[in-house]
Amino acid sequence: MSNDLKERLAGLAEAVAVRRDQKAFAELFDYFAPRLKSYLQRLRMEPSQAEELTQEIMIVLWHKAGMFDPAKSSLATWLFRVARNRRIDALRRDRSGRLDPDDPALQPSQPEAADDRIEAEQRDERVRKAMLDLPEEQAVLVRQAFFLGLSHSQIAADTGLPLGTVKSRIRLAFARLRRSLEIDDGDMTLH
Amino acid sequence: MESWIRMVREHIDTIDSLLARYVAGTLPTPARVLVEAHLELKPKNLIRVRNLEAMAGLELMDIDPAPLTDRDAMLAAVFDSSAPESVAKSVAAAPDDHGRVFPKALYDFVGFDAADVPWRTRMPGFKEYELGDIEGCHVNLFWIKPGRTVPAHTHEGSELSLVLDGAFSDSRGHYGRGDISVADDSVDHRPVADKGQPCIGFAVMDAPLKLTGSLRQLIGDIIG
Repeated sequence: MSNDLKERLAGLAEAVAVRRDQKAFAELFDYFAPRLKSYLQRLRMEPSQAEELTQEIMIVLWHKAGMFDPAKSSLATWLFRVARNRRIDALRRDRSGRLDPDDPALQPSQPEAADDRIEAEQRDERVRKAMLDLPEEQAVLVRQAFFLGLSHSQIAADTGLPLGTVKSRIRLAFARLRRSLEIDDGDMTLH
Repeated sequence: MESWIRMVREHIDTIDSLLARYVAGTLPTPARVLVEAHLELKPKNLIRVRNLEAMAGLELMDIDPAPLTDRDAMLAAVFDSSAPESVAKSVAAAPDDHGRVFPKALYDFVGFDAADVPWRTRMPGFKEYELGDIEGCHVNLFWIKPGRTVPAHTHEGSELSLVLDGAFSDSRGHYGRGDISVADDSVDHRPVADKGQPCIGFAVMDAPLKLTGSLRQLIGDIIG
């Protein structure tokens, strides 16, 4: 994701939050709704159910865009969290359309220390770089773990790889990610 | 020594996988509550969660879009929607969490704090409170007398234990408040509570425990 695109999306979200700008929202909708549908289908939701939930997430964005704080995360990350939490709610209980006020994605933004802000702005760049540094065979598996939430045995069944191979590749990948991300965290405190 | 290092590595690896599935939102509710409670007690691990969420955001942008059935109708429905309401939380019932032993996520899940658990004695020095089977998990709270050894057992599937008060040790390490111990069926562990204070924990299991070990060892544990 380029920084230009990220800033553009954040700017559109601000236009929605401040001015209820329908044109800005339509652009966000056209970008994110098909991606959210695709994501939910990869989680094995039926297409119609995936669309229904996508609509719910877009409703949250339309009404609650003011809760998104670009200093804390990208809009994509914020929407991922909303999607995840709405999906958990949908699986668990009523479909009343109510929102949990404790949902961290919907917490009003709090003032952050300057260091936190730098941390948040650079996080995406750092994690992207860390993912790119992984050998592809590891990246594929680790993506299935944190993005699709598959267990080791589900991943083994999906990929046809032996369970032991899945476990060791994921272990290597997480160790590597931790090393690159946590070393960077350490470096940042020096500045 | 070699195998001890391997175990520790395995342990960290499993916590990573647990956090990954937490981020993805695919843990059964009791395991999610356990991770949330852990993050309240060990806020440093939130950095790992935030990093994984940032990665997931990047994945969401990279994914191949799936065309919508009727884009215009969906967009119009969004503009027509009323603002989603918030769930009214019953804050009245919740006492001030100051001085509570249980983290908020766990308190909200079980409905009481450590002092009010209706314990049942399983054997001398070992008490449990069963929350029953929830979303395929067997869930309980446990209390181990200071210095007490819990009988050896292996697990069918895995067991996650979050230490809430006191501490315990097993062959793999020492676990204090906020630490998660992950045992799977390859682990035959005999947790020993630290001396000084009882160890209280929250356990989420895949399947009922089966007792192992020689009869003598078991009796030794029970009489302990």
